Amino acid sequence: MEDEPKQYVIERVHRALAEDPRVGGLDVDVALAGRRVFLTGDVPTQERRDAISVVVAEVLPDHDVCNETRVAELAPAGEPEDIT
Amino acid sequence: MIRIAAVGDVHFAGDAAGTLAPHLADLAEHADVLLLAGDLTRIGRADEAEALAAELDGVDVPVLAVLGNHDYHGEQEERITRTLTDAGVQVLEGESAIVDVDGSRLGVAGIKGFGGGFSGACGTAFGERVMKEFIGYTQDGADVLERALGEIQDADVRIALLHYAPVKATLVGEKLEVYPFLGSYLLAEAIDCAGADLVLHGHAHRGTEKGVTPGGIHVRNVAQPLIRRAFNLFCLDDQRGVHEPGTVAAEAR
Repeated sequence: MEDEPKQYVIERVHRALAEDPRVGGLDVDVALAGRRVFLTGDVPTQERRDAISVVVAEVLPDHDVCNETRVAELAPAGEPEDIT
Repeated sequence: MIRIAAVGDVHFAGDAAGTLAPHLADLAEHADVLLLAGDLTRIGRADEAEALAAELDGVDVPVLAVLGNHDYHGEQEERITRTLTDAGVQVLEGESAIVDVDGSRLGVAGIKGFGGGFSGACGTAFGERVMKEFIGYTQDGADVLERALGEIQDADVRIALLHYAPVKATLVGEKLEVYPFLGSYLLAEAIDCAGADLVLHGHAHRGTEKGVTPGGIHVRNVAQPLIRRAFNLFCLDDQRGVHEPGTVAAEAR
């Protein structure tokens, strides 16, 4: 594991986040720094944010998971756009 | 004017209950129709569609939708379609619909679409069987879309509703490497041949909102993670007279 190229590790995390039914999301950015994995991006609910931490901890049990994703609030619709 | 509310990629599930409905209350004050551009569910489960159906309960304008790739993930797309249909949502997959808006006819042709890439960097139906199937699936969808748009040629306003993108312009912001998985120029070619007033799609969460087909038709990416709103609103003139089929791409064929 220690010698595994970083890009393979990151891609394993990406695939887990996309394919694990607890998440099923593709919008999370993943970065590695030593034994820490940083997760950034927007998620729609707190439940999905929590699930991301759980899934990544299972994929990388020897890393600290720094879940810096944020739950995005929906803004109301803006002014209509005229399509001419 | 015909007023359209549109959003894609709501990726709904039970944990999101109550996040969308407040924005949809009294929608008829702002829009004549709500169009949903696919990825309606998180991982394509029927219970997620039920959660969305409950969220849409009480929406006071017609709702039309296409499914997206997430809605196929659980291989429950037929149940999802049935659940939404039972809730009053008209789900289009290669079909068209006409909505009467105060005597004007709004035509919507909808299909999920698929990938394949864009001019100069697109796949072809060559080589392995799966590659032929991949491009063939996209081509078949584009052909069906063109026919569906032809069915609404006499509508006052015509919308092409997709999940996958028909042009590169609304993908800018995404990584170049994933463009072939985000859409296909074949969709734009079909739209330019048949004609439309507006193309709506989702799928590209990190893309760009505005684009145009090679034939000059407006394209809008309404993926919710991109627009960061409950929906976007568009107004289209319904008094522009008889539509002619598109010609630009037809001449190029």
